[in-house]
Formats: sequence, structure tokens, C-alpha cells
Amino acid sequence: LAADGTYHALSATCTHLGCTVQYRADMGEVWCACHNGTYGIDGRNISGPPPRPLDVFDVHVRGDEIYVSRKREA
Amino acid sequence: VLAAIFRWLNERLGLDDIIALLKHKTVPKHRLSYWYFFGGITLFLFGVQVVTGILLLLYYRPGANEAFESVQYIMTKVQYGWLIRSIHSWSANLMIFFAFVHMFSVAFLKAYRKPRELTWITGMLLLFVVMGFGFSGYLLPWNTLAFFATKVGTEIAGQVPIIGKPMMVFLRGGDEVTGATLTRFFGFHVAVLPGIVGVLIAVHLFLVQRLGMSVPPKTEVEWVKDPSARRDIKFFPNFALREMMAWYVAMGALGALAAIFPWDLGTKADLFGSAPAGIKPEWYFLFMFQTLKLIPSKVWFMDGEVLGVLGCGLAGLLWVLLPFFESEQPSRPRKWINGLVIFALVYVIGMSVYGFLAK
Repeated sequence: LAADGTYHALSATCTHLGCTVQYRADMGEVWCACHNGTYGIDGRNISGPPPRPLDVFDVHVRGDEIYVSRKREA
Repeated sequence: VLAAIFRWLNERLGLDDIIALLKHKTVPKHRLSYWYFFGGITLFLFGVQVVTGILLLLYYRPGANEAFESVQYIMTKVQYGWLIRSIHSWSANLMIFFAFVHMFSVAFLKAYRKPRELTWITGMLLLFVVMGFGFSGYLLPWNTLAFFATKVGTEIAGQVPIIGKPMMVFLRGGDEVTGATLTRFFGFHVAVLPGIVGVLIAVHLFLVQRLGMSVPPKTEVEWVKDPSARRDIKFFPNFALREMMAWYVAMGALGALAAIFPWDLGTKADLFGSAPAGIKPEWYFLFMFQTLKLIPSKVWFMDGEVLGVLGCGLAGLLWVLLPFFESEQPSRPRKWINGLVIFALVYVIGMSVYGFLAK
């Protein structure tokens, strides 16, 4: 849940060496403990070794339910 | 009766020859002789590993649902189980440490020179196998740190061009690190690697025995110039007793470390949990880990990882081939190799410390 109230769903697999990343509320970023890589809440690789952004999933909120699905390629 | 048994055996095995060999075997004596002990200490710690490893095997159960619990059982319920496991972990680390000491002492004293190139190469292969032992054994308690270390380690193996991906799948027993990886690593750790290491140790020791101890180039030059200056001590009992003393000290240090600082078990691996903060590989992989960490994600057209893995591989290969760059004349040793060895030592220590301190 981002600051602007929208939902984001990201793959938790670091694009660097496949560790499982975690969201750090204190940093406002997604962080990988293995090699200190950080991603933005939108999955963009910000710093550290990750070579590309995290995979992003589509999120749809319908009522009380949240649907997460694979991104449809345009 | 003993004499009769000895005679019977002697007739069939030629024990006299072996005894004569032991009587005549000597070890050169000079001011750097003490470096000769470190290979032996490594061997002693390997022996400890075999014995404690077999003991652990009595209770350990491989498998994602059992491994962690069985190690927990060993540490809490089995008599002296905690001590045996602690000794096994400590001895593993000390063995790798002393293997490194032994390797650098050989490199500095240029003991790898002709005719001992093969001894150096088998020694390097032993070091790689021992690190394989460390890597595979680390996973067996199936705790969080081990799980992620294996994940990253095998992922790095997967970065090698062409053969990397199949190698990674082979190591993991699938695309991901799972229970299948654990049973596989268990097999490597208790069956495959011991077989390989047994053969390598036999060849390594045979070569040491066959070629005798190397003497540092400077001393060798002095002794060739003035053969009366040469000093030797008998292998048996003089050197053997000194070696026993070294083993005794190693055993004391090992026992103290294992009892005072029992090895942690950590928490059970959660395949869906995120990597804990401050996660680091074992110290002997730290210098490579730190190197990989420092390489930017893209260098020119290559992925940083691929470059790092290839670089490390190439450096390792050159290191294995070190004897072939050395001059055959002990009076004219290659100075740049000394420089390279010093650089390697400083690099390994520096990167390890850096990796340890970095967050």
C-alpha cells in the first residue's frame, strides 16, 4: 500500500541473486538483505547490485477483495 | 607371541622395508621449519571431521521436515551431542583456516617449485573440495542462514555462461532450493566428497613422501653451495613427536572453542520468508562475496555477476597454475610471484574484513 493509497504487488525474488526481498517501512523501499539492493515501491531498482526492476503484478481492488494477476503484456 | 605375529606379517607385507623407510626419512631443519606443521594440522582436523561426522550421522536425518528437528534433537537430547556438533562446526572452520595458512606458507616459501607442481595442484584441488564440504555441510541443519546462503551460492554458480544454468539445476535438484537440494547436498557431503577427498589426500601425501620436504630457495642455495651446512632431523621419532605436539595444541584449541562457544543452530528455514538482515556467507567465501558485491551491475556490455564469476574463476585457475610461472633456478626466484602472493594474501584478508564490517 503506497502513500498515495494505491496497491502494488511485486515479485519477492530479487533480480540479483534470487534472495527473498522485504518491504522496509522505515526506508519506504523494498530491500534485499543479501546484497543490500533496494527497489522503489514500484519495483524500480534504485541502488545496489540488482540489474533490473522486480517483476510487477497487476493489482485490482474490487470491493473488499484484492486481485493480483500477472501483468498483461501490451 | 607378538614376535611370531610380527614375523608372520613381515613375511607377507615386508614390514622391514616400511620400518627402514621410517628410520631413514628425514625432515630438513632450518629457521622456517615450523611451517611444515600446518599441512599436518589440517590433516588432523580432517580426521576430527571424519570421526565427529560419523557420530552426527547416527542421529541426523536429511529432509526438509526433519533435518532441523534432528539437529535440534542432537543438541538437546543426545548425550554430548551439542559438543560433537560444535566440534564438527569449529573443526570445519579451523580446517579451512589452516588449509589457507598451509597454502600461503607453501606459496611464500615457493615449495611448489619443480618437482612439486603436482603436489601444489592436488593441494589446490583439496582446498576446493574442502570448500565444497563447507558449502554442502552448511545447508544440512536447514536453518534460515543456510537456506539463503545456498540460494545465493547456487545462483552464483548459475551465472557461469552456458554450463551455469544446468549446473545450478543439478546442484539444487530443480529450479529452486527445496528439500530436494537438502538430500542432494547430504549425499555430496557424506558420500561423494569423502570419496574424492580420500583419493586426493592419498595422492597428496604420497607425493609429499615421494618428493620429500621442500626447502626455501634461499636455504637451498646455501646448502648447495655448502653441503655441510645442511641440517636434518629424523622424521621418526623427532619430527613426528613435534607434529604430535602441534596436533595436541590444535586439539586443545578446538575443544576450548567448541565448549566455550557452542555453535548456533539458528531458526528453521522458511521457504517463503524474506532474507534476514545482516545475512553473510561463511567467512571463507566472504572475500569472493565482497568482490561480487563491489562490481557494478553492468560493466560495459557484461552483467556484473558474470564478469565477477568469470574473474574469480580465472584468478583461481592462474593460482592453481602458479608453479608453472616459477623459475626452475632456486637462485633466481621470480620476484613478481612474491609480489602476487603478497597481493593475494592482502586482498583475501582485506576483502574478508571489509565484507565482515560492511552492512
